[in-house]
Amino acid sequence: MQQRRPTRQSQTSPQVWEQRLEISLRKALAHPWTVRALGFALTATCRLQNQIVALQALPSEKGTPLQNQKDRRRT
Amino acid sequence: MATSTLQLAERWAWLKSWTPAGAQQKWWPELGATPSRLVFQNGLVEMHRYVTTNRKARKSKVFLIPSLINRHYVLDLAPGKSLVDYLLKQGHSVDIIRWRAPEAADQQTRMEDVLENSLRPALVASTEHCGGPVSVFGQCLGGTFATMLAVRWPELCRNLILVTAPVDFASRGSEDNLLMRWTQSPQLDLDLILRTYGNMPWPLLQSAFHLLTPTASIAKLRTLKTKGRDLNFLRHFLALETWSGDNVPYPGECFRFLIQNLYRENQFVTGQIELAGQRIALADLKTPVLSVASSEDHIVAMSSTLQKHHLNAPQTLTQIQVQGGHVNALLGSRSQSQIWPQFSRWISPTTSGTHIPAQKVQT
Repeated sequence: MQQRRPTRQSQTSPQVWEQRLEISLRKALAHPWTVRALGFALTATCRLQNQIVALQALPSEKGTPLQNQKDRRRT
Repeated sequence: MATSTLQLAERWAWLKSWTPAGAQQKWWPELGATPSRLVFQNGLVEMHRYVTTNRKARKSKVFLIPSLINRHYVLDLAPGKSLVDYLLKQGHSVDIIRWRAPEAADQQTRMEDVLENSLRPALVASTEHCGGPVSVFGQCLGGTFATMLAVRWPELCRNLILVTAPVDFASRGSEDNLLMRWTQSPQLDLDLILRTYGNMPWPLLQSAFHLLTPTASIAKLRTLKTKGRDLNFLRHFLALETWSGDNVPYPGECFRFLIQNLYRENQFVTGQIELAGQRIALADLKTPVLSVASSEDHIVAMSSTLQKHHLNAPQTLTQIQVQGGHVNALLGSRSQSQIWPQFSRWISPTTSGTHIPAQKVQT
């Protein structure tokens, strides 16, 4: 009976795959585009956070749209 | 991402609170349990002195500075894994810095203020207690501060012990150093971040550290699966995980200093940092140093730690290279038997503290 020779792939342990994945991910994270994208994401998060804080700080004489709706229902 | 880390931390805390008290006692060791008392407090710094009944203890003193983002108890992790406890048992007197979590009012605190107005007076108090200069021990960024203190006020430091402490922040082309790439990117808008958050939130920093080793969590789970039945391993694992998820935010202006002055401009090496009206440069360090670096450290690369070529007096430097990651130099499986005795020898008043042959240690 002809035995199947183990291929290189089947000999690779999960640890080796993990190591390869780690190297690939680290390469990707070091790529200038990724670095730029991470910076952009952080900037966007900060700007959004600032907008939220600014909206929350607005004077609420007229109340929020949701509050106005509730008030109307009460009356 | 910051939110997800925060959620994870919350879930971890929830899991701990949910675990029955008996199991908690069994699995979760008491962290930072060595008794100490507060002896000095100023700004972001609290200095605690460990209580010892050892009569020899006042003869040699060590002043421990942990990293600014981390809790101090990595140096006093758990019974049987506590460097502080080990040093006390070796007859040394131990003072430790604990960083207070910065509040909104602390965001303007500059690095110079921390070094000059908080750390230096604490170090002076420590020297007064033992009647002479003390050994200063710095872990990670605590080591960077310790080196700066030793350059500016050498009369206060008998010698230095640096554990995975970054001092040279220049980017090395051959190295795959993600932290340096990210921090040097112009897209990292420091003004915007600090205007938004005031102090740098620790979950953001933690997320960046997690990204440095993207598959580390898988490896952790695999190790937990294979060794999880060993109660000693489990206790150590849980203690380390609890510590690594328990951080303090980085004070705003100090964060700006770290990124702009150190990571981007490498000012400690170029000699442009001004401290108490005097410019300081790494090359001028003359205090004897024991430097421990880890070979697979993704946070502080070997080339970032103190090397002989950084110094005008290279003979004062003793290096130990440890195999493993960032915390391995301090808490690796063989650190206790191979590295901690070196610390003790270095602190001991009978040792001149000037030379131990350079060595490589497998942990």
